[in-house]
Amino acid sequence: MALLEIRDLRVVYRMPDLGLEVKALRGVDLDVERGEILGLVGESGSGKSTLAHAVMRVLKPPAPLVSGKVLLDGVDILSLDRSVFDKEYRWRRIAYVPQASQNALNPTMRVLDHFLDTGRAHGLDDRAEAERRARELLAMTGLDAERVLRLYPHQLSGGMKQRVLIALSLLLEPEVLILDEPTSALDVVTQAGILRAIRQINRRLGVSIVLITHDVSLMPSLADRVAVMYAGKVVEVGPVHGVLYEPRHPYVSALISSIPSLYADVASVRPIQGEPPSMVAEIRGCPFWPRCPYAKEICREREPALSSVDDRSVACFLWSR
Amino acid sequence: MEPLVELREVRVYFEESAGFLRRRVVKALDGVSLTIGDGGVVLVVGESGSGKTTMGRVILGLQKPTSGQALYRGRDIYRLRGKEYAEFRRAVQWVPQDPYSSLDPSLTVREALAAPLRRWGSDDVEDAALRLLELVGLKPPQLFLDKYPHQLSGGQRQRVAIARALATGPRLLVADEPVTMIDASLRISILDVLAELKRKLGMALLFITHDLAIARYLAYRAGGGRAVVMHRGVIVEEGDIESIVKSPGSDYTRQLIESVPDVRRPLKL
Repeated sequence: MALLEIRDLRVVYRMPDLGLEVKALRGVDLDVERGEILGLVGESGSGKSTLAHAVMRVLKPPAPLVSGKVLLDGVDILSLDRSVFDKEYRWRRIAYVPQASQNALNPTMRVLDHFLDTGRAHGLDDRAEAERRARELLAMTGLDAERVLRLYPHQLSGGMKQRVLIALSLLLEPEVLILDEPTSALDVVTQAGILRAIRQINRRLGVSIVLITHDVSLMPSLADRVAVMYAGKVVEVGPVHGVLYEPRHPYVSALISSIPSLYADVASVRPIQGEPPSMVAEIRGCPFWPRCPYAKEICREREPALSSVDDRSVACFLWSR
Repeated sequence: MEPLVELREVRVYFEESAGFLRRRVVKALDGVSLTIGDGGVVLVVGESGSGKTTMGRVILGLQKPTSGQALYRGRDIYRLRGKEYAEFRRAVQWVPQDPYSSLDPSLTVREALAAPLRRWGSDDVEDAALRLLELVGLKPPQLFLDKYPHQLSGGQRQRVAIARALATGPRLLVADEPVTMIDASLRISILDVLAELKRKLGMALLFITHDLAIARYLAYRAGGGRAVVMHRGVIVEEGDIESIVKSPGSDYTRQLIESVPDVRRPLKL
């Protein structure tokens, strides 16, 4: 049994004033194994951040409708009483660093106080223990813990804030950590440092990490497995090398071919024709068929289910029924 | 003819607060010289804080140098007046980074394009707008004329922003991270548009980016380009981008190249 099992997760944002419904997640199935780094890749609108919000139960209005299950160690955390989830699961078993959360640090509090405060709020009242863990975690992310603990947020660079947030999210020793675009606002040199920190905490603490990003080129440096989302669903998931170097789903292969590289032959880079589907409209058939060079008759009629092919799962009629 | 744009030993210093009653001088540009010829492609590569955006602003006439000179056709940009200034404004145009905030949400595509077209003397505004949309790959153009920005995707908006920059018939486009906010799968189609404009219209391009792979791709599509690597306000390396990538000439460039993530090559973490 996987540590985190997401089953047929659906999220619909309803905007009754406009008479619109946005189907942000259209049935996601995904496992996170113990101790792994899972890369969750998708372009904007693919549903990757909505997935994190749904799992952490922080979906914002307009009136989201959620169905499906999210099992953590066999317990459906979506059906738990909210107070139980907040008290026993959030931070303690599953933690989350949202996108662009560097400004979430309180400007009037030193870094150390953020750790003490978070500890108290989640049942870690032993100040000395909280401080000890803070030191250890900050050092693990590559920071000079003694110095950083005394600083205020405005004295930290963007990269340092991100490391502090990652260390803070680990204070209650969660089993799963979800990081949403942890490096998207940082330049490449700082980004490499953050990636190093993420790998370090994964190796040292054994915490499972879900790394959400639009940037597939981060995957080979870090991820054990990769899941690719398109139009509110996972379309391919498997070991990082298989998915990146021998992609099965035509979208995944087109996405990889559309990214310029420093090393590969420039002439082989190709854009993907067309645009992703509108999530407001009803999707009929495979959501990728209008852009797919291999689309067959059946692709316009029915939507392929995620099914296993060799070492991975793929949602495409080229590979399954 | 004088080069299109030339920077000579340009310095831009800012003063900022460094605590109570203390000031600190930030050297955004610290002695930068650069020439952009007609139809040339210059790729400015650097991290945030390297001075690359300040350089773009100096060339656009938006940031007066603390010292040194910024010249348009041999004349100091910051001393141009009247007709000469108007000609500079027509000839040097800007493609913004954020396609979500650069277009007025209350104007249709037709209206956004009509103002500059009229200002710069197009006889048939409608016809000119259609040609511009076609040029940036929005086909069929009739379909886009009456759309508002919110009805367009990020990639389509950026194409409209480029079309608007083209409406004045510029000789130089300054594009500062024009694809950073665009989805990965749509980025290179925007770069293709810029490269094609360079080839079709003979326009010069100053392309500012933190992403070396993007710069390399644009240079390839545009038929070559000179890369300028910036770090802490100075140019640390300059030359053909393929040679720089293959054998970087400065430690900083080497570190930058080694930090670029790539699907085909994991970083050494």
